[in-house]
Amino acid sequence: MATLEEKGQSASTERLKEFLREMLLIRRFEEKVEERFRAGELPGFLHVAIGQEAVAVGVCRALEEGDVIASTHRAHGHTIAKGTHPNEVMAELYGKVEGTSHGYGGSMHLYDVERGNLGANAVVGGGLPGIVGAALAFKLRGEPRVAVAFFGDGATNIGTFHESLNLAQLWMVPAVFVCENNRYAESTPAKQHLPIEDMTKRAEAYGMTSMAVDGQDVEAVYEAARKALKQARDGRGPVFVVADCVRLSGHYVGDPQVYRPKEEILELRKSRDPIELLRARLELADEDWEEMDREATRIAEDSVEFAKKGTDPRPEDALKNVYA
Amino acid sequence: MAQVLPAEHDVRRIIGDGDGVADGEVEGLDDAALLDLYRAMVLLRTYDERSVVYHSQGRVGTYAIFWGHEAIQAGSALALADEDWIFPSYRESAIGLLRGMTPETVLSWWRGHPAGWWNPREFRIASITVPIATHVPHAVGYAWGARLKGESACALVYFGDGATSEGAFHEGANFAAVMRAPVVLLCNNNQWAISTPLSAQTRAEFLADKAAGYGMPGVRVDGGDVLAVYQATSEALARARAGHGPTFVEALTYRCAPHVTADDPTAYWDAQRVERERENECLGRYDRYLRRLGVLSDELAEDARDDALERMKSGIAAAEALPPPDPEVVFASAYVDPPPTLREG
Repeated sequence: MATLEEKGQSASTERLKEFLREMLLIRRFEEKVEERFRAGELPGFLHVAIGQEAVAVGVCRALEEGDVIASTHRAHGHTIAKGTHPNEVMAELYGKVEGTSHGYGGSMHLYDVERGNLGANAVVGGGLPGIVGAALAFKLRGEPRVAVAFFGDGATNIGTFHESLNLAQLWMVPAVFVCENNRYAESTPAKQHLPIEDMTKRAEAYGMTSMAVDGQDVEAVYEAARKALKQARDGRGPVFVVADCVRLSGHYVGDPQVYRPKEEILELRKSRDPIELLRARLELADEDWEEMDREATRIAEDSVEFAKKGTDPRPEDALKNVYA
Repeated sequence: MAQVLPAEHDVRRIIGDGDGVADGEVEGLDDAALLDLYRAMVLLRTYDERSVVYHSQGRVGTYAIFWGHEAIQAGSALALADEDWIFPSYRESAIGLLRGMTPETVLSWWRGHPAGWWNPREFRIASITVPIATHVPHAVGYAWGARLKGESACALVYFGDGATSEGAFHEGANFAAVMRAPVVLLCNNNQWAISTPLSAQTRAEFLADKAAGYGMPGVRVDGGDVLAVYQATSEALARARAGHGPTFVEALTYRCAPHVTADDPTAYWDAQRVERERENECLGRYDRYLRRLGVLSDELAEDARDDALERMKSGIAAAEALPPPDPEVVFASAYVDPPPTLREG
């Protein structure tokens, strides 16, 4: 018979395998997005989350039913991790009615309110005030729900970040602020836009609890998120979580990244790829990995087929949802 | 990258209480300089008290009272070099008096007369900013520009406790730190944003802690102690001029007057606290300090007061003697090329 400890370990391993499956799905989805964008099939401007899958999955898996998130311009990973089917996300990127925003939004306006996704946001720092508002509503209604904002290091320089964290702490609302610190604001490296090395110091301005976590380690993200969510849910105030992570792709699809040494990405891909790190840790057999990879690739490919067969919105409907 | 320093939590003081707390002194301030500070405070106090009277007589419009904040204003402004720029909020409307501006000009501003529109370059004082904190980025931009041009000028920006909750403050302070702009961020923490107390403004225990998030020094100083403000500002300026970037100075005080002449603070403030704070107001404290030192006599004090009153009397007379402005002047500086609708009118 398995001991309690062994049972715990096997449950944890199973969970990590699930995390890996989901991170891999996001990776293959994003690679497909890059491919179809370069083929000229996707309109607009796209930002993929390659390299940051562990934050999306680690945080979203720690959420409970009823919790909500707000995403950023780099939203595909968060949206899939929050439960929207890749078909609906891809259809949205193709601008189809079957998309999660019915083709009206596109990559930077992925909404899925039913699944607790209050939306991607093209405006840097734009999602934070909405999350404070949602959290305030949960508090006023006495609901045990938490609202989570994702944003990048660049957003911490924006006024809405400051106003949101100040009010969240003042009103002690159940919110968690997850900073995905990939050390680039588009093409601006942190040393040119951040006056401090330790981002958690920003929380001192509000008297807020902060924690730092390795954003490439999905288990660490998951544990930190659980802790932060618990504090928020228990009414002990919001938490500022800084996840150090790496952007293994350009800012946008097609970004030549002339501002970044080529070796940097090559090195990071070797040493800091969250999927490879987890795969190595789980010591997966090659056939298990290949099986997992085939499944993720199939779902990503299916999403493209689904999207291509979708319906184009009618031009006369363009103004339909503008005003109530 | 800059090392993040913990903010100072002890409130800096120089002036004692004439009893258990001993008087200190500021190095480099001789008797003449001490009296300059005194006269500056008296001038500001007189301007403020007369303005409230003029308002009640219908001679100036709604007026933002700064009674009790003279130590912060005079202590910081006199620490500046001539070339340094001042970015005032509405609470520092009369700061120009300390740089040779006449009461006529400032009173004209409050009378809504174009004679109150001073030329910022002439006094190195930017226009008065009424929206909260929007001038923080202006000051930072000016200071950064000066640094890029290799000039030694710094900027001093005044704002209140309420402004620290504004996005513009955050963006300005952050940018200043990143660019090491030579600017002094001087927060007049008078505990009230109109009728909102500090406790309903932020949960941060000390406003000076805001500095940690920018990696700049945060200093707390007694805002009723003109010498402490002078010293903290001087240190911040020296840092800025040496290329080390901005400093956040929290000057702690308590607003003992209405927010503006249109406000009735008895609806929200603590009357007993106000009574106590008034007894300990900054000009009286400095007056007693100088007398303990033997620097100030009745005669000098009376002189300062008479001179200030005389300036105000002639200032209001001159402002009232100005011809009413041509309404078209409203449009004079609005457009380089006025749109057709305006030209036709």
